[in-house]
Amino acid sequence: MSGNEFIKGTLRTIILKLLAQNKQMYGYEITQRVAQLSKDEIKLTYGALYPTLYKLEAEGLLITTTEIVDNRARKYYALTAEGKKLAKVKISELRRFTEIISAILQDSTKPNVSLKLWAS
Amino acid sequence: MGKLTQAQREELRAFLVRQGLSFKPLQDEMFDHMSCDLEDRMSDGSSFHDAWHQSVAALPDNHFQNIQQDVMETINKQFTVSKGLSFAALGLLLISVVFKVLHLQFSGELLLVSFGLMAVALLTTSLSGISLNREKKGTIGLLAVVFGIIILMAGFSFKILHLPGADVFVITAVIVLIASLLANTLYVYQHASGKGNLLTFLHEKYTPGIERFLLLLLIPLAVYKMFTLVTGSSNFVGGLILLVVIYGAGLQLIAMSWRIMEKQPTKRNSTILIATIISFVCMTLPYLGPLLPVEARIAIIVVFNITASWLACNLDAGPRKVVPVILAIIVPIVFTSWAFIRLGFIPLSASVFFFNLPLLFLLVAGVFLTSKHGTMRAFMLISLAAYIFEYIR
Repeated sequence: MSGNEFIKGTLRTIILKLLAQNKQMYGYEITQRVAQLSKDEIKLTYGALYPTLYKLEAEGLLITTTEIVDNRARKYYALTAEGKKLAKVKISELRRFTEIISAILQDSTKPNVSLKLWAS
Repeated sequence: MGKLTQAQREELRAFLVRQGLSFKPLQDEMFDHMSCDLEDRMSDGSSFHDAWHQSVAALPDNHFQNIQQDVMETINKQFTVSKGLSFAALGLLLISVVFKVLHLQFSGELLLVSFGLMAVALLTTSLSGISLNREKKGTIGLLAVVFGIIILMAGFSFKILHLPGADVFVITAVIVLIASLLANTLYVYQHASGKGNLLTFLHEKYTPGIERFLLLLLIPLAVYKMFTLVTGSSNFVGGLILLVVIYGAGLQLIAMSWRIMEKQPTKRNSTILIATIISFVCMTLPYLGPLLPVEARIAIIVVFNITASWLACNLDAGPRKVVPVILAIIVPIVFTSWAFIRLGFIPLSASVFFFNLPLLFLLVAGVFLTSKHGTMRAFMLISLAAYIFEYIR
């Protein structure tokens, strides 16, 4: 699936969603979970994942811990309290957005939710 | 699941360094990611060779450099109150030196305000780190180190103002700093996973900022140096800048040693532990100044220099270690010779061999040549500042 342009806009929410479901995850684990859930349709690159993780951390949404696993340092990411709140909001917004897009793609006469809210 | 051998790990680490990944936290993360990827492929039946080619073939050109650039932009964009205060402190420090050069009033007062801002920046950074990471341990250890640094600054501020009680502040600071650094070192040594240790976590997070701050301190230092070379006079205010650089870089080296002990089990041994303890004790004691006999201070500085050079070189994980090794040999020879001259074992006339411009340039070059060798760079900053401190006498 060539969905890079779609992934760019949704990666933050995907990460927040995965971390909301798991106490903590490390980078490789996130890429594997996304590949598994998308049945290998979405493969996150290092270049997409890590800058996003650092941005989320810089915004105070993620907190990190480092543990030694197999003789190497492994950095785990977890949601902060603020991150948990935002995750709920973003997941809800993305769900509504995908509903809207589905409605448009199904060529319905009018979507049953408004995009104005999204754009505001 | 297939596991990488030590040789394969080294090959991977060298590959990441060749790819231009110099920011250590990100390099460690990419190392873990690629290790997991390779090990997964090897578990599926691939040889290391095949797994390597599949993994590397999937990477676009300059991939890691681009990631590092993105990550560094994110880190550098963060404007915090602490960052603002640090830059204000640096600016005032520079202005203070310029005022001194021009024989204007208030040079000392500006330096005091600069110290005050540095202390506030240190405190706000620490308190914000504690508040954001409540689940991590080591709050008291962190506050004790910060408290010690602030008392030391207060002690030297009292000296500038010729106020009574300066020595009491300095003695208290030295005791608090040695005790807190010892407690933190032993904690790191005993709880080596690195999980949840606030001090090393915050140090890793702020390392790019700390390095930048220490390098920027070289600007007022250079101005001060030129001033003293031209006028032939030195002063306590200028010397204090050097002391700030020496202790700042010294703490940087100690904190790096903690982090490496946490992350590399092979480096967590009693020799590194003892070298770390000797380094911070010998780095702190000379701040007692005239309270210690000058001969004792000289001996302590030499012990520090020899121990810290070994520690920095031993902990260094950067590429092409030839330069760090050469520097780790030359620098202690220079400082030991300096000590012999000061103690009268070598004639004073021999000073010209150990304090000259080519050696000064070598040390300056050493700071820049060790940009990818974190511990050695910290050691070179200490050595450069200490060299200048003695050179201008």
